[in-house]
Amino acid sequence: MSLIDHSRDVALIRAAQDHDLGAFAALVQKHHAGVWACLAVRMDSRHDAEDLAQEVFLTAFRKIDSCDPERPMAPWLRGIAMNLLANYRRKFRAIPVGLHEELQTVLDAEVAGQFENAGEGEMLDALRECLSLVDGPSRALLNARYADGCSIEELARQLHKRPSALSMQLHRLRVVLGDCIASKVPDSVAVYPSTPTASPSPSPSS
Amino acid sequence: MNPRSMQWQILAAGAVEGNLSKEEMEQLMSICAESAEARHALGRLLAVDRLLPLAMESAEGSLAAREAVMRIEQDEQVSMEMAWKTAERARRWLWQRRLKRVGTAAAALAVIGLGAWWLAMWQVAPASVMRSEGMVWVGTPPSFTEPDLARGQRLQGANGLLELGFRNGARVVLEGPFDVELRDETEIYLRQGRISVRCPSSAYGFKVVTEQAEVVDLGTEFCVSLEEEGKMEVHVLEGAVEAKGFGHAKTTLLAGEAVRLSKAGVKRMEVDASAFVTDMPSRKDEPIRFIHWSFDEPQGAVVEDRGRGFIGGDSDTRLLMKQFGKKAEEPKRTAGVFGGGLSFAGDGGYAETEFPGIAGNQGRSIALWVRVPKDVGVYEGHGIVSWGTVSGPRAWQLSANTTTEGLKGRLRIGTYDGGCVIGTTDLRDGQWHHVAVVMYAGSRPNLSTNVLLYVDGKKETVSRRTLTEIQTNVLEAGHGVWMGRNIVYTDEAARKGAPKMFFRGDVDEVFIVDAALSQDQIVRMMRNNEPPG
Repeated sequence: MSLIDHSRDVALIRAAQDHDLGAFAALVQKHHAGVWACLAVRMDSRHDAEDLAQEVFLTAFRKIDSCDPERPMAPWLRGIAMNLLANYRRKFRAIPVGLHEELQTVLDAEVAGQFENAGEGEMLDALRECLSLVDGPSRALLNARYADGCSIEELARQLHKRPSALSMQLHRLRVVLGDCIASKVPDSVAVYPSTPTASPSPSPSS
Repeated sequence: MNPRSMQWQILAAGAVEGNLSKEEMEQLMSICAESAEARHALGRLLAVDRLLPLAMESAEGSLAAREAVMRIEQDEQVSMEMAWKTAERARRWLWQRRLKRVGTAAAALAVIGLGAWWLAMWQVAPASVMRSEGMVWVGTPPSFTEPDLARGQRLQGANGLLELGFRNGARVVLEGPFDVELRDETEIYLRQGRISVRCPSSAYGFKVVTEQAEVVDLGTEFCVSLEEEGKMEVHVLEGAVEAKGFGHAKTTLLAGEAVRLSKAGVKRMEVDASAFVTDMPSRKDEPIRFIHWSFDEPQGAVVEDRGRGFIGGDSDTRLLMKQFGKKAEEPKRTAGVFGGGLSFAGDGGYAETEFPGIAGNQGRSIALWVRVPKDVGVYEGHGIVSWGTVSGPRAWQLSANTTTEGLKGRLRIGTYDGGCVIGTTDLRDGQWHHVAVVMYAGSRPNLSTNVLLYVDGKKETVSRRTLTEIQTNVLEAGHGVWMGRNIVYTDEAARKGAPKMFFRGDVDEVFIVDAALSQDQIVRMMRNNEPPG
């Protein structure tokens, strides 16, 4: 963080501690993506992650007096997020109907391990950059699946394709995007199977 | 297996999309157990999958900021706290300047004004009595003309159980003998007794303070006991707490941990959850009432209510088959999940009972099995079960959403006039799904906070919801509960030429309950067709 950014954050936190809602809104705006990303990689529902991210900021506002303005705010928010996530998991322990419970546990642990020292926000930024390089039918497919929330079956009906073919097409896009992220974020490991040299610019046909 | 192989890719794709068969999951599990490389690759793919929806949204965060600010402004509790703190700061500022340099009259007015404000804030009740069982009070029982409790109120019980609800959402169960004082909405002072505390996220930081220590919630359920001779124990059942014995260092305790605090120090011990009452027994004087239409009669135009509590009441709770229009056919019996079910053709057949539905802001649940065809039409998803009035948000209608607002085919509860909560599971697959909508009662319940959706026993992720107060009006509806007919398709709407709006699909085991059911109860209903206890 630059010195100017740091000074701005310090001023905003102090103002928020004086119950300046505008200052707090500026902090939410700045940190929202990072908090949401931190929760989203650990939860299988984007909507629950979004709801919980809101809760993080409401809790943060209630506890703002305990935030040290001289220290970075992101780790403090992350701590609140992890506590709320732990609560959420206790309260809404899902009945396993989709992914194998044991497999889900292993993967949750894996994802948590990969982001143990944060980095979700950086990965999100890199993903945004990589996505901007995807266009054409691939981008339309990603939009329909991830922005509009269409199921594979719905998409298969609309596109007159087999669900399994669409599932693989989306998988390949995720792999390419993962490789692209790996090339942009230091310490990021490429998604297997990847090309030997990760492509920084996914092509529309990928 | 090589994680670069085609087979691995197929399994990984299916895992991320959540459509693997049991055998495929076992296979993938086995690969992941053996190969860290495979595990890592799959974890990364999952992270990409989970971040993609975010990456497609605006990076500005301005909407989130606006929503956060709106919620803070709406949060009366936070506003009150802020008002109090602002008043307190102003009071200190004036005091520091000894009022000398400020015009005496203005200062006096300010102090009086702030004093009144301060007093008003002080008088906001931090907690209220939720329930009590067998209470024997010490001395004269406290006066509970209203359930609200004042700051600083002391409660002493010789025996019995008392449940308190704090304004921040914390729930406390006190077990007699006890002696406590309510400091404010975030703190209770324990002189003696056994106390269990459950804190939602809104009550993060709730404190139990004693003469020798303080226990601070970090998002959890915990219990504290303090005997007369000063022996204090802290047991954490869920989450974490911070325990600090005065004169000793802070100790963080996680779920399953316990400590004994004394002047000599802090000593770890075995947690004993069974030693505390953590939940009050259910009210025996107010059993749950419910209607249950099982459709197990082989045929006939009348479906009996097999429920409890409403039969023999003010309204006839039997369900009658009806038809709207000469060409329409009454709903027909079909094979259900448990015995028979009821099939609606979407052409004007529906069912009605004299029972008007659950009114006002009373807690309620609807649970049923539903089968929605894959090709359900735009007017054929709504009105699976409904009641209330279509004038303002005064209705209560369960549907498979077919409107353009929100995702189609998802479970929806609507109040009319734009009020709705919509889930995420697409019901349009021609398969039976168990769906439930639970509304928790409140003085001013709201769709955004008081309603939970369940699909196949699992809490449903909400894709859309509105900030609409729930106030169901059954008095002016002009009809009872409908099944299979969209509540907006009134006789008047039909006369004005509105297109027919009748549900097409099948239902079975319909329950209408006058209380908010827990997930456990819903799962038992789903699995065993077991009525709510």
